[in-house]
Amino acid sequence: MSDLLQYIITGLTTGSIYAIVALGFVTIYSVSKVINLAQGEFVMLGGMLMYSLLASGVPYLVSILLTIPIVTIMGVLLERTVIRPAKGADALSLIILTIGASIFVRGLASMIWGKSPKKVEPFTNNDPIQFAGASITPQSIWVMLVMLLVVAVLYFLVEKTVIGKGFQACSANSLAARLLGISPAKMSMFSFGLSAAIGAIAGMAISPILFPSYDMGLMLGVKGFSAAIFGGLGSSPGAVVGGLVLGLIESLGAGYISSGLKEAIAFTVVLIVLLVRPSGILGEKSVGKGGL
Amino acid sequence: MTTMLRVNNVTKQFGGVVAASSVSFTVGDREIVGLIGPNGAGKSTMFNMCTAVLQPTSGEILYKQTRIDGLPPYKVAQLGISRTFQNLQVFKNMTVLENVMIGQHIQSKAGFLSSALRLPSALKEEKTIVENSMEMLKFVGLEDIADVNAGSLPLGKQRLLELARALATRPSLLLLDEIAAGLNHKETQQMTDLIRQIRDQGISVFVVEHDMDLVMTLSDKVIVLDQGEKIAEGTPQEVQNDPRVISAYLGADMEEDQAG
Amino acid sequence: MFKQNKTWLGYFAFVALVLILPLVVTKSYYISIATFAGIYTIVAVGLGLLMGYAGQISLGQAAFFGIGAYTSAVLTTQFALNPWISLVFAMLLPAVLAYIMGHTMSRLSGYYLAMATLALGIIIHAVLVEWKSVTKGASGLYGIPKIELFGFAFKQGVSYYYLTWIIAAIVILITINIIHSRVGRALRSIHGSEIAANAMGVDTGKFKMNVFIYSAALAGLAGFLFTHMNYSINPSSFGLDASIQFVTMVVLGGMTSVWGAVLGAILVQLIKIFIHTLGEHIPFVTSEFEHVIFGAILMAVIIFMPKGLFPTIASLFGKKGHRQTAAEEVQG
Repeated sequence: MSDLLQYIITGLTTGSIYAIVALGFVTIYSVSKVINLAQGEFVMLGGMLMYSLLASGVPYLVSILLTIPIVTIMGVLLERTVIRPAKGADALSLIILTIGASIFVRGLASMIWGKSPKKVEPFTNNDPIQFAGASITPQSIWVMLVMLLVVAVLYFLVEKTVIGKGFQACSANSLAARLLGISPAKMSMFSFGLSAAIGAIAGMAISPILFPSYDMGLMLGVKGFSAAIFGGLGSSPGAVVGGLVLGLIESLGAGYISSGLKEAIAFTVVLIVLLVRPSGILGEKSVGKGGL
Repeated sequence: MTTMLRVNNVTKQFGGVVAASSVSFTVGDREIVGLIGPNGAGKSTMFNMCTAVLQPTSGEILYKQTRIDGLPPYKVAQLGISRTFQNLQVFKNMTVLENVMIGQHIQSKAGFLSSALRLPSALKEEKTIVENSMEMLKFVGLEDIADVNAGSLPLGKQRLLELARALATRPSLLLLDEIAAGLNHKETQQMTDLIRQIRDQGISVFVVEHDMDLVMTLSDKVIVLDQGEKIAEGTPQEVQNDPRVISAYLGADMEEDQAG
Repeated sequence: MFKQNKTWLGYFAFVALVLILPLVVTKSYYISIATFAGIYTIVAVGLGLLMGYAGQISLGQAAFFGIGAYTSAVLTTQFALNPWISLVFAMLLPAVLAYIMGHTMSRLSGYYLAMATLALGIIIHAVLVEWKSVTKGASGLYGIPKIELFGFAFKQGVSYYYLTWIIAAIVILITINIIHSRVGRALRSIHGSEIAANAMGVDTGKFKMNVFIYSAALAGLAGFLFTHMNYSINPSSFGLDASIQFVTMVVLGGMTSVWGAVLGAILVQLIKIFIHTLGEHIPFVTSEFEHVIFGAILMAVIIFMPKGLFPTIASLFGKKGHRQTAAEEVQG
C-alpha cells in the first residue's frame, strides 16, 4: 500500500512536468497550429540556466527571475527566426522544423554545459516528509504547486486579458482575427514566448529532482506531445490530465513491471487509448485531425 | 426508364442549420438533370451527399439498386459515378496526360509487385491506359498539351481536364459541380456541346449550376432548391414559369442587392 | 516516354559511379563510411517514398531498422540460421508491424501518426535494451556471422561495399519502377489532391498503408545489412537519433525524388566524415556537434529549400527551361 502511494507521488511529480510541457504545446498549437517538438528544450534551458546562474553566485530568487525572461526571449527568437520564415509550410514540414530546432539547441547545450547532469539546489529545505508509509520531498510539493500555479496563470491570461482574447480569436479563425485588427503573427510570437516561459518554470522546478542534462529536452518534448494528444490536442484541461496520467502510468509501470520499460509502457498505453478513442481522453472529435 | 440516381427523403443538418430538408428526386438513364437554386440553397451539400463526401442526416441515396450514402468516395467511384469539382482539383504536380491516366485507375489493376518488377502485364496495361487517356484528351480537345504540367493551365482548360479525367473512369453517371463557373461565353458553349455528346454516348449527367443558362439549354429536367427545400421540378419551361422559383430568385437577388 | 530514357541514363551513370568508387578511394575508413551510406540509402529511399509520395511522416523508422537488424542477429547467433533465411524474417517482421500500425493509420492520421511513430521508436528501443534474454540488453549481441554466397564470405570492406550497393541499386530500381507505374501515379495523385484521388476511385488509405509497409520492409533489409557488416550490434544504433537522421537524409536530399533520398543518405555520411575530421583538429567539435549541424540543416532546408537539394539542383539544370516553354505553349 505504501509502495503504491510512493509511486503515485512520484507519478504526480513527473506528471506535473509533463502537464506543463503539454500546456506549452497546446498554447502554441491552438494559436498557430504548429506542433513544437522543441518545447522540451525550454525545460532543459530553464534548468541549465538556473544551474549556471547559481554556480556563478547569483542569489536563488534572482536566478529564477533572470531565467524566465531569458528563456522567454529564446522562445520569441525561435518563432521569429525559424517558425515565421517557414510560414505557409505544411504541417509535416513544421514538425520537421521544430525537431531541427530541438536537436540544434541540444547540440549547443552540450557544447556549453558538457554532457554530465547538473545539480541544482532545491527551492527550500528538502528533508522528506513521511506520511502513511511513503515519503514526499518538499521539492515534489513545489513541482505540483508550480504546475497548479501555471494552470491558474494560463487560465487568467487566456480568459481575462487582451492577449488571451487575441489567442482565442486566432485559435478560432485567424482570418477573422486579422479583420478585427488582431495580428496572428504577433499572437504566434506571444504564444511561443509564453510557452517558453512556462517551460523554463517547469525546468527550474524539476531540476533539483531530475538533475538536468543537455539531452533531456527531446524526450520531454515527445512526452509533452503525447500528453497533449492523449488529452485531446487543443484542450488545456486535457493536457493537464494527459500529463498527469502519463506520469502516473510511467511511475506505476516502473514500480510494478520494470523501470527500464517505463517509457515503453507509458507510450504503449497512450497508443492503445488513441486506437480506442482517437480524439484523446478529453478531446473533441474534430480536433487535431487536420494537418498532414 | 431505369433510374440511375435516386435521392430519397434526404435531410442534412449542420448543427442547427438545415441544408437539405427531405429532398427527393431521381436522375434517369441517359437523362441530363440540372440542379439549380440561389446562393445558399444547399446545392453543394446535395452534390456532396450524392458523391458520398457528406453523409445525410436521414434519408437514403441509391445508385441503381445500391445505397451509396455512407460508402467511402473511392467505392462510389468504383461503382460508376464520377465527378468534377467546383473549386478545381486537378493534380497540379502531374502532367495533363497523367491527370487523365488517374481517371483510368479503376479500369486497371497493376499493383506494387507487378509494377516494381515491370511485368509484361503491367507494361501492356500501361500502354492501354495511355491510349485511352489520349482518346479522352482528344474528346475535350487537350491532346496537344498532354505533356504540359496541369497546374499551369488556365481555368477553362482545367475544367476541360477535369471533365476528361472524370470520363476516363468510364462512368455511367457523371456529376458536374458548377462546371461552367468562370468560363467565358465561347467556353460555355463548348462545354454545353461536350455534355450533350457525353449523354449521347449513354451516360447520365447530373449538373449543379449557379448559372441558369447552361442548365436551361441542356437539361431534360430541372430541380430547384431554395433554403434546403425542393421548390420545383420539371422541364426547363415549367420551372422558368413557376412563380415560387421566380420569387426565390428575385428574393435572393434583392437580398444580395441590399447586402451589396 | 523520353522522360523514362533520361531516368535510365541517370540510373546507369549512378551505378557506374558506385562501381568505380572503391578503385579510386581505397582507405578502409572511407569504404566503410560508403557502405553505411548504401545501407542508409535503402532506409531513406523507403522513407522518402512515404514522406514525399504518401505525404506521411515516420519519426520512428529506426524501429523497423532495429527490428530487421536484431531479428537477423538473434536468428543467426542463437538459432544458427543461415543469414539468407534470416533476411526473410528481417524484412517480414517490420512489414507485419507496419501492417498492424497501418491498419490503424486511417485513424492515426495527421499529428497522431507523427506521435504514434515517435512512440513506436521509443518503445522498440526500450524493448531492445530491456529484453535481455534475447537481445543481451545494452551491451548487445556479438559474434554475428558473415553473409556467405557460394562459399564466399562478405567481410567488412570492399566486398561488403559491393554487396550493399548492389542491393541498394536494386532497391532504387524497384522504387523507380513503382513511381513510374500505376501505383506511383496513384500516390502522386494523393499528394496532389487527396479528395480528387478518392473521387477517381483511388483507395487512398490502402495506398498509404502499402507504402508504409514497403518502407518498413526496406528499413528491415537495411537493418539486416547493418547487422552482418558488424561483428556486434547494440541498441544505441536504433534510437530516436537514428530516426531523426533518417528524416534528415530525406529532407536534405528532397522527398519527392528517389535520387533525393540517395543524395541525402550520401551527404549525411559526408557531413559526418567532415565533422569527424574537424573534431581531430578543433577541440570543441564533439560528436554532439553533429546535432548542431543536422539541426541547422533541417531548419535551413525547410525554410530556404523546402523541396530539398536534389529537385532544386535538377531544376537548375535545364528542366526548368523545359517547363517554361511548355507553359508558354499553353499561353500562345
